[in-house]
Amino acid sequence: MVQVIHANWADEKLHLWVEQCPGRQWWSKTSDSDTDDDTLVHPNVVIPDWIQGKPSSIVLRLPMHNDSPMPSTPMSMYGGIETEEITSSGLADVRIPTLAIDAAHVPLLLESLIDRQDALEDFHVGPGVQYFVAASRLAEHLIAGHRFVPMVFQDATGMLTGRWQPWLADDMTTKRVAKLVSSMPAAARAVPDGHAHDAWSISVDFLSHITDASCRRVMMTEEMTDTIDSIDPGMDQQVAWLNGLLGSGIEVPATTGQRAEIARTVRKWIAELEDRGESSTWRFGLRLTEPITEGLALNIDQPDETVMWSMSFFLQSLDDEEVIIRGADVWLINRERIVYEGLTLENPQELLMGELGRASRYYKKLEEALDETEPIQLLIDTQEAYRFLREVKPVLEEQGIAVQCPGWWESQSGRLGTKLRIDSDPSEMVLGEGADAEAAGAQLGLGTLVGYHWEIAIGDTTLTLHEFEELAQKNSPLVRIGGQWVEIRPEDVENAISFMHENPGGEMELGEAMQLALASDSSQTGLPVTGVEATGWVASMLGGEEGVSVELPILETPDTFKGTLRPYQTRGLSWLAFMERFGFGACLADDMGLGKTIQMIALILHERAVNTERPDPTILVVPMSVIGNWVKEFEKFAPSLKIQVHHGVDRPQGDTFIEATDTADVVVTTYALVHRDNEFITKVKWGRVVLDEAQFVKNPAAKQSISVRSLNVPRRVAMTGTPVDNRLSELWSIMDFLNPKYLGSAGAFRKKFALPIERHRDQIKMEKLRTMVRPFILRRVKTDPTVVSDLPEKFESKEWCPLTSEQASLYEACVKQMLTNVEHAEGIHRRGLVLATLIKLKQICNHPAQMLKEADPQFGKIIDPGRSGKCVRLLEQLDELISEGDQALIFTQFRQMGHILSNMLKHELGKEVLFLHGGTSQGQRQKMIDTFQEATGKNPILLLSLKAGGVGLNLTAATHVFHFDRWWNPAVENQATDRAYRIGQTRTVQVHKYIVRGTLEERIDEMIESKTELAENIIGHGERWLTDLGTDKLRNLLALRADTISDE
Amino acid sequence: MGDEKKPTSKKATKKAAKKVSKKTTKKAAPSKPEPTKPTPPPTDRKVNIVARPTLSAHVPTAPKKIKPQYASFRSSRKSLTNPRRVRGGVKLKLKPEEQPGSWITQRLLRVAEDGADGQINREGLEYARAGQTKRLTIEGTLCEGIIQGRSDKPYKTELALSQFSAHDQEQIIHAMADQMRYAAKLLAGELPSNIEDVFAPLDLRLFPTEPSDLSPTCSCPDWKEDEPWCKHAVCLTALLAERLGNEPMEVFGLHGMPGDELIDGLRQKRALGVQGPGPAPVLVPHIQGVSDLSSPPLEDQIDTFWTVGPELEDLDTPLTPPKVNCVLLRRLGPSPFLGSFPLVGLMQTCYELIGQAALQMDDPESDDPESDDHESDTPNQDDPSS
Repeated sequence: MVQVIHANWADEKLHLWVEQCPGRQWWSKTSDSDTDDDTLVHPNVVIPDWIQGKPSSIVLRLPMHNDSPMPSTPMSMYGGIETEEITSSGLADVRIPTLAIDAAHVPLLLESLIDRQDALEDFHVGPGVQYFVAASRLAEHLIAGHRFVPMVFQDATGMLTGRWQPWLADDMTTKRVAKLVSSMPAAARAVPDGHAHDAWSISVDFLSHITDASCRRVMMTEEMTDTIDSIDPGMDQQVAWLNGLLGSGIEVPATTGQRAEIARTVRKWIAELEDRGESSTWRFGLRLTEPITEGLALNIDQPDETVMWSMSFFLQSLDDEEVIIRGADVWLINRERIVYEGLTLENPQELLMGELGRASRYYKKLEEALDETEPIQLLIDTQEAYRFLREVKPVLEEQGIAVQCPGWWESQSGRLGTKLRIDSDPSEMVLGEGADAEAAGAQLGLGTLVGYHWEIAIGDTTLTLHEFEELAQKNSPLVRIGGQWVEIRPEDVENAISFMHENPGGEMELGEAMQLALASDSSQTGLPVTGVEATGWVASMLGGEEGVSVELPILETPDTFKGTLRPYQTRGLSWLAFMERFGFGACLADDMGLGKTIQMIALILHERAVNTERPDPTILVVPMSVIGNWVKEFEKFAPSLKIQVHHGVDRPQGDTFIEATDTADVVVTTYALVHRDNEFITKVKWGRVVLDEAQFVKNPAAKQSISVRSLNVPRRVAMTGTPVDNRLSELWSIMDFLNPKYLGSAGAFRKKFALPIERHRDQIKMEKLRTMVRPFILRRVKTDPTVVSDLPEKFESKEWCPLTSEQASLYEACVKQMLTNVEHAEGIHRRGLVLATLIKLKQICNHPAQMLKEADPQFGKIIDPGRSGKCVRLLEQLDELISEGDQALIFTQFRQMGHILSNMLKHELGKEVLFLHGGTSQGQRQKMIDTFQEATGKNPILLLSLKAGGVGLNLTAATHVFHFDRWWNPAVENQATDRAYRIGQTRTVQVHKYIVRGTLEERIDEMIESKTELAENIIGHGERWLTDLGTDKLRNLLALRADTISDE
Repeated sequence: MGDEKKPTSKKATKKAAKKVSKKTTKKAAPSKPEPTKPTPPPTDRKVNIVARPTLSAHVPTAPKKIKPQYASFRSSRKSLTNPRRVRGGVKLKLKPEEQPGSWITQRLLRVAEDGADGQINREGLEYARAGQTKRLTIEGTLCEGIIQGRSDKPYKTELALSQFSAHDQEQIIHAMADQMRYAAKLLAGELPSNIEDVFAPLDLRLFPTEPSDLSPTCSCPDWKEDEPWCKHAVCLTALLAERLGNEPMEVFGLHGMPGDELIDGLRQKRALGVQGPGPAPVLVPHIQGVSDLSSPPLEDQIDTFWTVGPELEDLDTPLTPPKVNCVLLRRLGPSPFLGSFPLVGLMQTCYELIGQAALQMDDPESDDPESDDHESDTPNQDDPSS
């Protein structure tokens, strides 16, 4: 049962309500109105009884159709309700039963809804929840950054209350607030109340209450009221105000006379934050210049306290920030108006003085300058300069005053840091190929002990501990080293010295060293870690940007490989071999279509070519849907390898299996079987485990993931086409399979990376994580310049799909019945029979539901994709390409199948699906095409019935073309393909032709490929030729081949 | 509201303080000012004030600057009048043929044009541009100008708007409070552009539309009760036009309803719950491009009713400690209250505690860092058969 949870903010509470799937004919449902007023009660809403809250109700203005509220967009998408043809008759008030949540519980609760959505298949959060989740996260962000203020609120009676308020009026915040408010869905502002459906008003009210609740909770935990308990609020208005802020009570106790004064004073005080200077076109600025050091460039002993820094003043145009007028010039020019670079500055002297006065409110030192008649600059010593840079500069900048300072400030080169140096034996790199190298490699990996030591560094300069201690003794926060000023935070010095004493260097595990170097923070070292430098093979592994080091030895394509590797594929092969040699688990994550499979095949062949002794077999774990593909690819590119497919009902068990692996090079099996047959699979001595579509182990606690990890195998490779760094639990799971413990425990990883990145889009954490995993992941995308030149403009691949057992039995029954019937039929009747059967068989291959006519084209219930091998594969591929930002065309001959797919894909992918068929009106056609071509990412899929979409359309926004079922006429198919592959297309187009193994689809494909006379017939005349075949030939052609069914 | 002025008053006073020095200038003195002749702090704050009337105490000491005064004064050969020159007078900045930036300015100029005949109007505007007005004050409900003509003594000219009665005021506040958008803008110290829609149904006028709305009086010989539009009246109206264009809230004061009272009234009214929910903060910051935009009507969004906007995807909200501790508190400076309690010190502690708590992410699932199996054991996407 599909459920969508919605949220609205009303009466200072968050109201949650769950929309249930209304089923077909949803508008004919009448609700029983048992309330006093005439407001319609929403017929399909329940209260989420698994949440703690107060049952309540609200009225919403909702889009209606025939006096019923329309299903929400997520509901019609996931619930399979076709609403496209149905237009709303307008808005009406609808009463909704809800659960009301107090502000204090809202943030945690909202997050738990997101977690629940991730955990449950049929539970989705609606746009209101999405919105308030984002708003609540923004509130947290503001609180963590101290961007809130104490405030006074006043009500009708003049009563004052205290409240913690987010401060939204600063530049960096307003951008975020603008994004938030402009994204507010109408549904989230549908409550008819005093906010008058105003997005800003509702958002601010929400943020205000959430912020207050969060702040107040801390104040109460810390028992802050203790600080004012003994003071009479009547004696001190500040204490009165604090009474409304520090505890659970919000009231500000004050007499009527005091109230006005308190309100006025607070307003005036807080309003200071809004003072951004008096000119709207010119900004006042301060420039700090470092002391000029003539001939003293390199002198650590220079007493820095004695040198003076100068601070000068300027006015900067806001229209063109390049235009700057120095304070000295303002006095010199001495005019009422200065026109410079076409920009006019009125009354410059007054502006300069006024703004200097304003700045002095935040930086008292400036008052000295105010005493002069024509202030030009202020001189300060080094300590003061540091204080200015560190503490005053940000404050001034936030109040709209420009600050220019030397470039080294806050740059990498201007801050002291630590560097980790890892030494590894360069001789490893020149190890020969063959068994020795392999054996050596297996000893290495993240557990290898490497020599390391820490260094203190500024930019590229390295200091000894002694030098550093000398610097620290100077007790100056800004010192000159090598002619350059460097910040040494006083608080860092002691930590750094003791860290260096405690960590003189030595040996540690490479994994640990990498964690330290790539993801530690100064809390561990006392100083920021500014980098890692490595020598030898470790340096090669840390590699370059792409993950592939320039130093990587490039391998030859093995002779046994029947085909050609493109240059980037050779690099991929070399990288995989390199990683294996040094014992690292590696993830090949190239874009779909770049040939991950053949790189993997080449790796297995390479290993067999360089070793004199036969290596242990590789176990290749794949989803059922791609077994066929793998087998076909091995046959084509590596006929020398012995491939054992372990699946099917009569697969060997126990010792038989183990014996069979003796002679196999590769054993192909599925995730399900690794779990089910775990007992004897683990007994085999495997040389390597490869996971294809490794996202299948994304849930670390799932049985399959545990089973896969239980394999004790020295070499581990994962293959995935989805950009793993977007799905963090998946990333953790894959990495933990490849290099156990490298990313820490799942819980620690969640706290350190997953939550900040997924909830708060923390870019810094994201970058850290990327740096950490980059050495282990090779990901090339189709648009990489190094790849794109190697790619053809268009390439085709066949997708070999299995049959499910349901499909297989339907298929066999259908063939059997026809064979019986044609025995007794003649002429036209016989032909008709054969043709009808062919169509049925094709439908079964597509999906049993198509043949059984289960779907209602208008209000199609959602058909389970798991019943069709093709559908499973299609979903996998679509998921991958959508995550890569690509768009796809899907062609089918059958309109019926189009409807089934349309509903299924919407439900499974959570995306709108466009469907263009013979019945689509010209207007709708154009609209769909335009929508698709806009490529916003919202409608990445366009389904077309082959007849409707074969000609005339220009659909270059697609880079993938799927032929879900086959026309068996290359000309017709190419015409369809050319919708995407035509003038205007700038990217590579991938064509996927779906074929079900063991069925007539495979048989006919073989015939076409054989290019025989028969093939000519097929191509020329469609399927008619089949009808003339004799019964025996028909049987041969149509009978199901064994071992192609997906069940085991 | 006593001495509490509109949000602009602080700036105004500063500017005023600095501009005071203008009067004692020596012409074209690029050298040092005469130390012996500093401008005394003005005692009569209305005298000579160019733009705004009051001076407050917390502004830093006014710079003792000498400035050339005649820089942009050019005598026009085509002058219609020939008055005695005034230095440092209030000038109309709007140039001939230039379109006023504000509809309010435009409106008042048109009213003057309707009131005075063409020649008088042109002369009045010339006076205004030439800076013949020695002083312009808005005091209470009266706008007064001291305007120098040809004779020795300047004339005193006055403009007055109709007064809003207590009853009128209540009605106005009520009508505005009903309109969320008016209230929000006014609370932020801005005048909504369609403000007059509120007044029309009440049979009131906020800005003059007829010459008689301004009831000019003047001490010059040309002024007559039945022909009140002398060139001085035009001149003063033009200056008022420009002033109100910049400071539209001042118009309320001219009607006997100071802007502060209006805002307080609104705040009260909204708090009453007539329309606005809940108590209102004493300060509503204005955020350009956000708080001043109104949402489209729900009716226009039926197609996207259940869709969040695309920008939500880009909203990053990292939990990071502030670069500068308690940065807002630093910007606020010392406590504005007289009491002895260390408000700012306590606030600093509060900020630190609250900020730290927010950095500890609330997540029951990762409370136990050792627990690896926080995700429920739901069946994975599997082979189609299983």
